[in-house]
Amino acid sequence: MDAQIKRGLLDILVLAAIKDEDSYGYSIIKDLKPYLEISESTLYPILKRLEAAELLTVRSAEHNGRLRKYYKITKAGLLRLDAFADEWQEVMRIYNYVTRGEDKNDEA
Amino acid sequence: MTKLEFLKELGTHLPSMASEDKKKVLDYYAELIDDYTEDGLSVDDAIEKMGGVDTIANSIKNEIAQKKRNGFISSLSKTAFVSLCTLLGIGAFAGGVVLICLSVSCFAFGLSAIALIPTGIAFFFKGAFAAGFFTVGGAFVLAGLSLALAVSVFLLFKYCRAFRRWLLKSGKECDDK
Repeated sequence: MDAQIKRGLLDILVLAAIKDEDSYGYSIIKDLKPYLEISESTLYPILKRLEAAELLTVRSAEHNGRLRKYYKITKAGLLRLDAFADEWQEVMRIYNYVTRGEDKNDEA
Repeated sequence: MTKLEFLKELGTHLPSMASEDKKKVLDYYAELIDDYTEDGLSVDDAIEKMGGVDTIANSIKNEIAQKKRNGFISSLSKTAFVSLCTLLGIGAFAGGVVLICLSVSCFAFGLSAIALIPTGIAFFFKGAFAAGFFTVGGAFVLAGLSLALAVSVFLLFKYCRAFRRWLLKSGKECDDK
């Protein structure tokens, strides 16, 4: 996948991973694996960026005698996901335009 | 390699990082190793899965370099950027008022200079040389002031436009985050 497109999608995917419940780094990586491979070193700056943009918040909670950081989506983060869904309709229109007539070409 | 050895080595790869930021990064990787080992992996396997110390350190360095390239505005949160824009907006309004005042003054001084020159010449014809010199001199002073103000207005307008372009570009960067 194109690096620019992937970069944009990663932010959205990370937000989507914490949309329903708070999550932590390791779990986010595992949850996203079926959709897009994301390395640990890639996730960290994304989390920092999303936190700086106030799209998520961080809290520490105890887990098995150690502290683990949990990421929680904010209202702004949820709005960002809604905006992405709206934008995607536009992307699909462009996709349909770009791939128009390909089925006919394949059949021929 | 133990978790502590890994974290110590990673820390030595990031000498230019602020200690607070470095601690956050090391905490993040310590947590990941704990999660991996909790999931059944050895520390060595966890480190290998994450790409090893060099890869991780390079990735962090690249991110820092990218941040520096993006500049000050990109590092601001949206709220901070909006606050900064509000302050700058107030400044821009005051600047606009000053610009208008300078333009009006420039116009007024220019007109006065034009009006005073024939008046001065008329004094010369009437033989009132002192009044003539004084009036023509005053006209030149006003013309000079008018010219200086015109240059100031031009430069101010030019820098305002450059500032507006920078602000729009920065706003877009902040929005893209």
